[in-house]
Amino acid sequence: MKNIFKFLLALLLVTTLYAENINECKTDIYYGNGVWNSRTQAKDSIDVLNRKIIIPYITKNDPKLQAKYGEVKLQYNWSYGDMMDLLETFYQLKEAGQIREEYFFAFVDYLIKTVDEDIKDEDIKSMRQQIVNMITTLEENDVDNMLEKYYNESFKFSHRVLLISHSQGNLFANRVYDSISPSGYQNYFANVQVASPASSVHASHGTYITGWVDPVINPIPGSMESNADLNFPGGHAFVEAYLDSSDAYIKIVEAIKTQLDVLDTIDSQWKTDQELKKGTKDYRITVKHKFDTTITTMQNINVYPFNLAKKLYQVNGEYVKASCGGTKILDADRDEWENKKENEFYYLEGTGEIIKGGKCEFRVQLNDNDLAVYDKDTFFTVGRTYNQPYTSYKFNISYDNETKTYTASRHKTTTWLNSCGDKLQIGNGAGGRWIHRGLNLSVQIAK
Amino acid sequence: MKHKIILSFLPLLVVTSLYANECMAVFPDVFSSEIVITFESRLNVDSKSDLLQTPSIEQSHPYSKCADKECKATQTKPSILKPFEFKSSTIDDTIEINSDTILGDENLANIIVTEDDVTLTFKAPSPTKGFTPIQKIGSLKIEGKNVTLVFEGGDYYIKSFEAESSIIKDFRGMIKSDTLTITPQANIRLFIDEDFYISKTTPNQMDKTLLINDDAKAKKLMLYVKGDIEIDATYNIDAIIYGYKNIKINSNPQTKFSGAIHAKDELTLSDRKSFKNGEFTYDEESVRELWKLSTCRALPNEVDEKLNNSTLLGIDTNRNGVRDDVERWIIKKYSKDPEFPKTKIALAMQYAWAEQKIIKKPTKESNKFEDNVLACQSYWFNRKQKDITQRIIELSETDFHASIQENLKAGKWRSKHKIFGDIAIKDKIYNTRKRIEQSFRLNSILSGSILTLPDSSLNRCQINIDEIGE
Repeated sequence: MKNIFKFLLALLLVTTLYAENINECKTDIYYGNGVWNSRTQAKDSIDVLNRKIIIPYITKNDPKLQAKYGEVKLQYNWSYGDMMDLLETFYQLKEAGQIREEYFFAFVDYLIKTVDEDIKDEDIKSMRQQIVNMITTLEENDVDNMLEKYYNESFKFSHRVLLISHSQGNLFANRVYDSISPSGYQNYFANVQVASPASSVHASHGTYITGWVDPVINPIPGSMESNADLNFPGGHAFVEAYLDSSDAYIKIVEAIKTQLDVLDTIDSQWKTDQELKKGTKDYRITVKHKFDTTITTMQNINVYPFNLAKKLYQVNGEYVKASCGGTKILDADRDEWENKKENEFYYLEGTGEIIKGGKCEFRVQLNDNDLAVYDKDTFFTVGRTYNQPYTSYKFNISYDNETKTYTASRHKTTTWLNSCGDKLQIGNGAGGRWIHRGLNLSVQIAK
Repeated sequence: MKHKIILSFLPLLVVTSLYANECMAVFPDVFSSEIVITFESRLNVDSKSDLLQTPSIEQSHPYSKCADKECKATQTKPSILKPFEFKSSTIDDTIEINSDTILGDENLANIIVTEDDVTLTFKAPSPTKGFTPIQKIGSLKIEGKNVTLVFEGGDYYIKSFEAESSIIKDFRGMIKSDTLTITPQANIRLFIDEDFYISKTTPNQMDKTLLINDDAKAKKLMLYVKGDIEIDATYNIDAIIYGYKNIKINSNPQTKFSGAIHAKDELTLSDRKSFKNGEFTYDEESVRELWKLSTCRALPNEVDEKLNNSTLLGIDTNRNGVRDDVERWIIKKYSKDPEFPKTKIALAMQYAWAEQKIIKKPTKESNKFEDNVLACQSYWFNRKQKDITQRIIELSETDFHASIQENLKAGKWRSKHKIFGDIAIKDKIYNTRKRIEQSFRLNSILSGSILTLPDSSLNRCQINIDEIGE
C-alpha cells in the first residue's frame, strides 16, 4: 500500500511535464529478461529480437512503422545473484499459488543448509524469516520500479505497451499488470510470455509460448502447458532455444503481430472536453483523459478534430484527433488536395481526414408521406420514403460517424443537430425551410 | 604414407599461419626490399635463410653471406603495407629543450633539443577513441650531445627526425663523445612523415653513438618512415623498420642490429670505412608477435599471471586500455578466424576496452561503452546482411514460412560471428573475483532501468571497420 502511494506521488510529480508529448499512435515494445540473464545476454536478446522479429515483420524498414514502434527497450531485471534470483522466483510462484507455502519454506531452509550445514533448527527459522522478508521487499521494490518505469516511459505519453517477457520476467509481467494504476491502462498493456513459469497470463491482451522441452519451465508445478516445439535437445534461453527453433519462433512472431494489432484497435484514451467555434474554420476541441486524472495539462491545448473517435497525437507540433498516420495538416486557404470542396477547411495528409464546416444548407421537407432532404442547389432524397401517413417519424442523422436519433412530428419538428452545432429545423410546408448542416449529413427514416 | 598425410595437411598449416600473422610476410627476414638490396660492405647476415625476399641483390661486396651462404634474391617482392595516415600536430610552433623534460600533451610543436645530456620523455595521453595512446609531434631535431629520448607506450607521429653530431671540443681540445639513446618504455611505434636521419660520429671508433631500444626485443620499437631513412653511426639497434622510400644504413665492426628491415625502394647497407662486417640478426620471435589491422603492431609481452591478477586493473604496458593478457588472447584467437579476423579483432578489442572501463568504474557512463560495442557489431551485421534482410522483409509479405527459414539462417550466421557477450572472451576479461564483482555492481546499478541500444552506426566503432576491408 505504501508503495502504491509512493508510486502515485511520483506520478503526480512527473505527469505535468510530459503532456505535450502525448502520442497515442506509438506502441512501445519492451523485453523483460529472466533470471540468470547477464547484462550482456539481455542486451544481446533485444538486439536479436530486433533483427529476427521487429525489423523483418513489424517495422520492415518503413520509416513510419519505425517511428511507431521504435527499437525494443530492455526492462532490465537484474539478477541479484543466482541464489537470490532463485528465491525470488520461488517466492513469486508461491504468491501465485503455484507452489505451497511449506514447499517454499522447505526450499529456503534447504538453501540455508547448503550454506551452513551445521546450522541449528532455531537459527534456520530466524534466518528463514529474514530471508523471506528480504525477498518480499526486493520483489515489491522490483515491481514498483517496473511500474514506475512503464508509466514514465510509456503510459504517461499515452503510448501502448507490448511486453515480451521471458522466464522470470513473466512472473514480473503478471505482477506488474495486476498493479497497473490507474487500472484503465491495463487495457493498453499487452503481454507475450515466452518460457513462462506462470500459471496464466494475467494481461487481458496476452498470450504465451512455452516450448517442449524447456527443462526449466516444464517441471514447474502449475506452469502452463507447453505449446511449441523446441529444437532438440530443447533449452530455456530466449535466443538460443526459442528464437532459434522454427516452431517456437513462428509462434512468437505471430503472437507479437497479433498483440500489436489488438493494441491498435483499442479506443482512444482521450475524450472531447469542449468544442470550440464549431462549424467554423476555427473549430477546435479540448480533450481530457478518460481515466488518468493526474494528466491535466492537455485541457488548455486546442486539438484539430479530424476524427473525434480516433487517436490523439501531434502533427508538426499541432495536436490532432485523427486516425494514425497523419503527416501534415493542409490548410484550405493555401493548400490544395484532391477533390477539395468549398466547405473543407483542413485536410490531414496521410489519413485523408478532413475538417469541414461552413454554410452549406439543407432544406428538409416533411410531408404526410415523405421526408425529403434538399441541399441548397440540388434536390436529392437521402432517406427512405414512407407511404404510410405516420404522425411522427424517428430518423437517424449521421454526422462524421456519430449517429443520433431524432423524432420529427408530422406538423412541427424542431431539434438540434448536436454533432454539427447548427440548428436543424424540420418543418411542414412547401419547400421546407433552409437549415444549416454539418457535413456528411444523412437522414434515415426509421419507424 | 605417413609423410603423405603430413604433406596433405601442409598447405592448410601454411594458410593458417599466414592468417595468423600477415606481418611475417611483410618482414620475412632481416632484410627485404621491393626493388633491390645492396651490400656495399662485407656482411655476415644472420638471416632466416640465404634467400632474401627482394627482386634483386647487388653484392658490391662479394663476400657477404646470408645464413652462412651466398646471399640470393627470391626475385619476388615481400608483402607490402599501405601508407599510414599521418596525424599532424595542430601546433605550428617551435620549442627548444635545454633540460630534462616530460611532454604529455597530445599535440606538440616542432622540437629542437639544444643542450647536451638532456633526457626528453614523450608520454602519449591515454586514448579516448581507438586502442593506442597517440602523440602528434612536429619536426624533432636533436642538436645536443648525449641526448636520451624516452617514449612511453603508444604511437608517435613525428613530422621529421634529424640528429647530427656537431664537432665540439671540450676545454682540453678533445672532441666530446656523443651517444643518442632512444628508449621505449613499452611497445611503441614511430610514424615519420618525412625523412629519418641520424648521423653520429665519435672520436673513438669503439664508442657507440646510437642506441635504439638497445638489448630489448625488436618488436618494442617499430619505425615507419614515409621519406628516406639514413643512419650513419656506430649503433646498437633493436627495431622493426618499414621504409616507404630508400633506406641506407652503414655498417662497421661495432654495429649491431636485431630485428627486420623492409624497404619499399632500395635498401643499402653501406660501408663507411671498413669492409669488415657488423652483426645483423633477424628477430623472428619479435616478428611473430606482430599483428596487423592496417599497419603492423606488436603484441604486449606475456604477463606474470599472479602479478596481473593481484590488482583490479591488471597489467596494461602499452596503455591502450586493454589488459595485456586479454590483448594477447584476443589477437591470437581471432587472427586465426578464416573469414573476418581483423573485424573480429577490432570488435573484441573494443569489447575488452569497454569491459575494462566497467571494471575500473562500473557506472551508467561506462555501460555506454559496452552498448557501443553491440551497436558497432550491429552496424557490421547490418552491412554484411543488408541484402538478406531486405529479402526476408520481402518474403515476409509473400511467403511467411520461407522468410522464417531465411531468418533462421541469417541468425545462425550472426551467432557464428558475434563477439559481443562471447562467453570465452568474457571469461578471459572477468577472470578474478574482484573483476566479476565490478560487473555485478554495474548489473545492480542498471537493475530496474529501461535500457535502449544506441543506433547502429559506424561512429560507435572504436576502429573504422569499413576501412579494414573485410
